[in-house]
Amino acid sequence: MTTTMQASGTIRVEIAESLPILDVALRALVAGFPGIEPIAPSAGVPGSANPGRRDVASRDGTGRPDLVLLVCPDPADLGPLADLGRERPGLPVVLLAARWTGAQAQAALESGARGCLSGSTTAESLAAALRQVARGEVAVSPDVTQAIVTSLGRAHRPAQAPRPTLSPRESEVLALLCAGLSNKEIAQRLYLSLRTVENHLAAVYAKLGVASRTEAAVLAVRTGLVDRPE
Amino acid sequence: MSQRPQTHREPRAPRTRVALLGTLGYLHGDGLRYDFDRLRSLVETIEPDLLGIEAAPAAWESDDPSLLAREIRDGLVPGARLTDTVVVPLGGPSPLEFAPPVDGELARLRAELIRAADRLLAAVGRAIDDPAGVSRGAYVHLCATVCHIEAAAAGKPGRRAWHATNERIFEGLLDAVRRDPGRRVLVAVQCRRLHALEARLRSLTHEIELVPFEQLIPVDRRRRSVSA
Repeated sequence: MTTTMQASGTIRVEIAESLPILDVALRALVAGFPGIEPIAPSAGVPGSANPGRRDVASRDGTGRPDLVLLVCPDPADLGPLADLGRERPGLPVVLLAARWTGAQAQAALESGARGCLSGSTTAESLAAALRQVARGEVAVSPDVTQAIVTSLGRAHRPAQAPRPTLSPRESEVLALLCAGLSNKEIAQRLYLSLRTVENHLAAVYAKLGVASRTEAAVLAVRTGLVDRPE
Repeated sequence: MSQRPQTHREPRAPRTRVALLGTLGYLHGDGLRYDFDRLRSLVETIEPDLLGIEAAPAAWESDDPSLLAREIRDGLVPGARLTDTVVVPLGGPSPLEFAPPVDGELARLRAELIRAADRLLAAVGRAIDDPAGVSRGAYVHLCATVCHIEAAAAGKPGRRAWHATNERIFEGLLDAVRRDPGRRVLVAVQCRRLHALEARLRSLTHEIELVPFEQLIPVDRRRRSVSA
């Protein structure tokens, strides 16, 4: 996926929030992040599938967003995500909800969301998540990752497949991922640059045969690479 | 003609670009009002991969902000938090460094000399009033001169503590570089340490390339002016 972000270095984020006051607050918050610019969604389009929401389906010519930050009052309702996927395929969507269950987050990610952020997200974490998604990664709040791993860990028996061999550093990074830390938090914990952590994760994914941090966490728990979370 | 056996060579780790940023943290309380917003903005503009700070790992990992110098918690760390920069505590200062001596006839004179040198640094720092300016040109030489004066006046315990801290910070930086080679590293330490740290780093040219901090700024941001 190519993004216009690459040309200018600025990440353009379209914010989809139906409550005007929260929209203003989020916009002001995102505007304060270095290298990130909130842009306005276009006005309502007749016949929109979500008449109660500010429509994000069409452009007003002010520039394509690199991703959409969609606020979910009800994370069980993935209708707005599905609408976006149909109307604007390929546009990354980050969902923000007060609280997620593991099953809800898993459903959202399987439906194409590139991020699931919870109410525990700080300003710094939100900025980091937007940058991750703009780079083509998936961003999931630590507590949401824990919820997914716990949910899937209960649902599956440990696999009998042989354990892949990870380097000591890769094992460290994987353990912290399973503990729900974001890439930036892992980097800070280990005093490594973010890019080095991302390189280690890419190596871990390749060795485990997975494509995302959630899959890696689930497989790591199932194969005993890391201890099952409580 | 027999062929020489091929030797497998491990690829050499890339050199790490390191820039030093002098700060005036230790002078707070001497009437020096330091603009932490500009320090924060400088860190955001450079957005190094790693930001080395003059703090002990235990102090950093305690999550107690009161254990960190004001310029770290109010300037450097906020700049790092909103970017992808990772903060690395390299080692903290010792209270014994250049502590004014208290014993002997000349002790009072030596103590006054140290305080006068600090006042000079603070006065010139106020005039520059810019974190970038503290790391450039004549002020760096002034800091080095002040360091030599204070080292001479402080006596053995103070000098020993000073060298021990410098060595600790150097080792902390070397660990960070060897743990994660090839990255862009900004090191923020009090300005009096710059010349000592620079001298040690210049002996490691196979691992470290010392650059002005402007060269760490990503190319697409270099047009943004960094005030001089």
